[in-house]
Amino acid sequence: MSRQQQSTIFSKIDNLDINHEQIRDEMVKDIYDTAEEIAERNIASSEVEKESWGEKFDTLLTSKCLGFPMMLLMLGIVFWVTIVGANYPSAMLAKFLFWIEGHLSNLFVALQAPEWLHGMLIKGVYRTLAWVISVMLPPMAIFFPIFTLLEDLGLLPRVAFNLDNFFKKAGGQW
Amino acid sequence: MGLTAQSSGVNLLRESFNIDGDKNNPVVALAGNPNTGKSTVFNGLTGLKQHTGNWPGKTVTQAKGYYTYLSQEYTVVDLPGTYSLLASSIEEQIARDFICFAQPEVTVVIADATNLERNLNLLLQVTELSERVVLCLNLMDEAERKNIKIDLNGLATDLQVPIVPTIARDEKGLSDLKKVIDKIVNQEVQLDPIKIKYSSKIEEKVEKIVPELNKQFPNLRKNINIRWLALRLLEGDRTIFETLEECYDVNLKNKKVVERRQ
Ligand SMILES: Nc1nc2c(ncn2[C@@H]2O[C@H](COP(=O)(O)OP(=O)(O)O)[C@@H](O)[C@H]2O)c(=O)[nH]1
Ligand SMILES: [Mg+2]
Repeated sequence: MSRQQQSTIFSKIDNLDINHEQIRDEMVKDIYDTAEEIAERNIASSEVEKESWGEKFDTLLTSKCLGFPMMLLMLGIVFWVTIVGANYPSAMLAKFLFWIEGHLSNLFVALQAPEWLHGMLIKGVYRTLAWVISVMLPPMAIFFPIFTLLEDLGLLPRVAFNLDNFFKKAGGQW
Repeated sequence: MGLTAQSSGVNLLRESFNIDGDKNNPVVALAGNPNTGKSTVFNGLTGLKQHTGNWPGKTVTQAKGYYTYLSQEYTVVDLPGTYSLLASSIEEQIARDFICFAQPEVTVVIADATNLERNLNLLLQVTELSERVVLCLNLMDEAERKNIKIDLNGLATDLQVPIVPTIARDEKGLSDLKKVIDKIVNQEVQLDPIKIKYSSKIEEKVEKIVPELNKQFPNLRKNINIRWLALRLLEGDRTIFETLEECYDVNLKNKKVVERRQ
């Protein structure tokens, strides 16, 4: 399979003077037409099924004009619930963890531990950990379950469907 | 055993797709649109005997598994879900190259019975590449629920492929599928499935290119379908030769292996 043989073939094809795009489109059309013809001949759909409730919702969610607002609204609600809802457990967690910090400090004092040890373990390690947990844990514990629910309800695939065109334009898919 | 991995050339090619050529199992490829129950069929066939990894050099998941039917072990490969084989995405390219070069003993096209038309598009493209094709009409329960009645005999006559209706989620019809696969592998049925007939404009051009390909590459027809190659060249695919060269390289290597053994 030498270069020369290949270029012989390519020049032969170029000589046929073809518009590849057009040929490709025609091929796809021929395939689709055949598929349609065969499918129609062998399907007897006794009655045209009414769009179910779920399907109506589906067309709404993926429609051109309503798809995006619905999607943004949905994600907006999720974020709002996450951010606002997380405040309460966050505050409670912080209160609880810093209450423990106070008691730990008392313990260090009672044991007459050196100040640098107390500074490192309690004011350093423990306090950082307590902050991170009280700030991060509640939003995660709220956001991820909701997100999982959205995914299982099939709403995320519909978001992906809406965004597909944009990612294609951005070259995310070649 | 009729069709089992005829030559070690095919085996080496299969190894390049991460399919164990040394096992000498007949290979069953599962093709289909996304969400037609491909993975469900795959799991139903193979049970726990499966591995997942990546397709060589690609970030696309490859699932392969094994099942035994009438004391013959089969290797099953779950191809990426695609709507066509036009190689316009990595998934499509993988599916196409696998059917074309690894030449599975049987390619099962898994179709959504509630959406026959869209699924037939893929089947029609698969039969351009391989004769050994089975149509697995899955989601038959959904079709029934939606009152869609499919004339299975008529469809089989139109397509000239065996059709197996299944409800993969309930493991219904899978033993029929195994039986049909066994019959094809053992050459108890000969298949000559439907081939798309394109517009005369395209067919004329194919007829001009095919003899040229046969002249330039007389050995190629042993490995791949020349008409299919001509069609790809017509639609402007210039990388197809590179893929072919890879395939040829493997075959050359194979020759060396054989020589050394003698
Ligand atoms: N009702 C019904 N659902 C099915 C059947 N086969 C698969 N499914 C469901 O269809 C969905 C997609 O299946 P999957 O195997 O992941 O499809 P894939 O994308 O082709 O691999 C899953 O939720 C399956 O449970 C079937 O025969 N009937
Ligand atoms: Mg799958």
